[in-house]
Amino acid sequence: MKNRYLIATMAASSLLLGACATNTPDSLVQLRQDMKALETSEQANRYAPVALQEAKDQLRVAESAWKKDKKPLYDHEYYLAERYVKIVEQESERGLLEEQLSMTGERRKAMLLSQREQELEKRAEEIAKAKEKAREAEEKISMLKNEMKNVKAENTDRGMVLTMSDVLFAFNSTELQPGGKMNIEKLAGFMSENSETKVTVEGFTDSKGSASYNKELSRERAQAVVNQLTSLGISKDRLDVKAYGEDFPVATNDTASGRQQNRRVQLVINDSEDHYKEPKVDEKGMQISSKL
Amino acid sequence: MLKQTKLTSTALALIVVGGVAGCSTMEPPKAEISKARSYIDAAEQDEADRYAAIALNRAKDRMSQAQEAMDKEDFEQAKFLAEKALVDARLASATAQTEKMREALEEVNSGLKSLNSELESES
Repeated sequence: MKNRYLIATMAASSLLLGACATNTPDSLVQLRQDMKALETSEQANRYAPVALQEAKDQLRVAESAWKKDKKPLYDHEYYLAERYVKIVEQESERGLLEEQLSMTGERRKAMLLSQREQELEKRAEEIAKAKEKAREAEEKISMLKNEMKNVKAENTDRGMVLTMSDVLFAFNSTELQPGGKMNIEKLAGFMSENSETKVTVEGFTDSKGSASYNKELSRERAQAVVNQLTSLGISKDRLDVKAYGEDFPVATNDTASGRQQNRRVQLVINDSEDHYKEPKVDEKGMQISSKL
Repeated sequence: MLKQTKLTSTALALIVVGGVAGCSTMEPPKAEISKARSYIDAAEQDEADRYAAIALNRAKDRMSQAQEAMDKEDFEQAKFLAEKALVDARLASATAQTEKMREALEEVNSGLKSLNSELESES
């Protein structure tokens, strides 16, 4: 009797030992490794914490089925554990992709922002260049002005405006006096050196005489300037005539000196890109010269 | 000796009957089946038929096998099959969601790429 118990015990223990000694299947070894990798993976812990816990629990179930040596049950539990590991892998991959997707908005913004910065930089450069160009033009024109006689120069929002006094014309005539002719020669020289410039010649008179006569006189005087410029080789495309007659006075027409100031030719110098702007008047009807 | 053999066979018969009885007294795995079914529905919602067809079909096959086992009152087999169908369906869902996300990201990235080359050609 005693012997039989002993044999039974020995048989049982050898059975258990046998179970332990049986090599763990490669698949389970592999799954343990995969699980360990997932448990230490920051990505899996961040994006698939629930599935990760389920996979851990299920692996434990599979391990215990293996220890109990219940082969069909183990196969089943192993299958579930293996699927959970795959689910964790998919979910953590998805989480990473989602994060990348959410960052594309930022990348897009950064891209557009750098584009805007570049544009602003470009615009600043353009402005600086334009300023430099304007400064150079101003310098040249002031040199021109110094060479001309009886000329007043003003840098206005319409461009550089040179005002030629009436003394450069013969009385009541469209004929330029020698001094006037010399001034126009200087202007022609300036224009041929600065090929991008255009000149609009504006003619003005005082208010003596009829308005239509004055308009006519102002046109002919301005035209005389243009004619001389073209005879000096300046293209007609770069020249224009505006006859304003007694409009846009710069001084009172009640005094002789005022009237003399009103009889004038204005040369508006523009860049080829700029458009000519008409003169403006204030509430008293006087020409405004808005200086820059 | 003969007596002992008879006794052993009786015991064996009892054990076998007990085992069979153990199986038949197991509750039908209704909860497992309905859970698996809802995960299959979810996978279909996730367009797993497009992005994870193999896993989804495996889940569906197991589901119908589980149904057959239920009809045969093999509840243990039905439970196993339903549990397998559930994880297959969950994997199908997860795979489909990942693939869709990948597609979306690729689309956005190619959009960014063309925006970038557009910006570069402008400046």
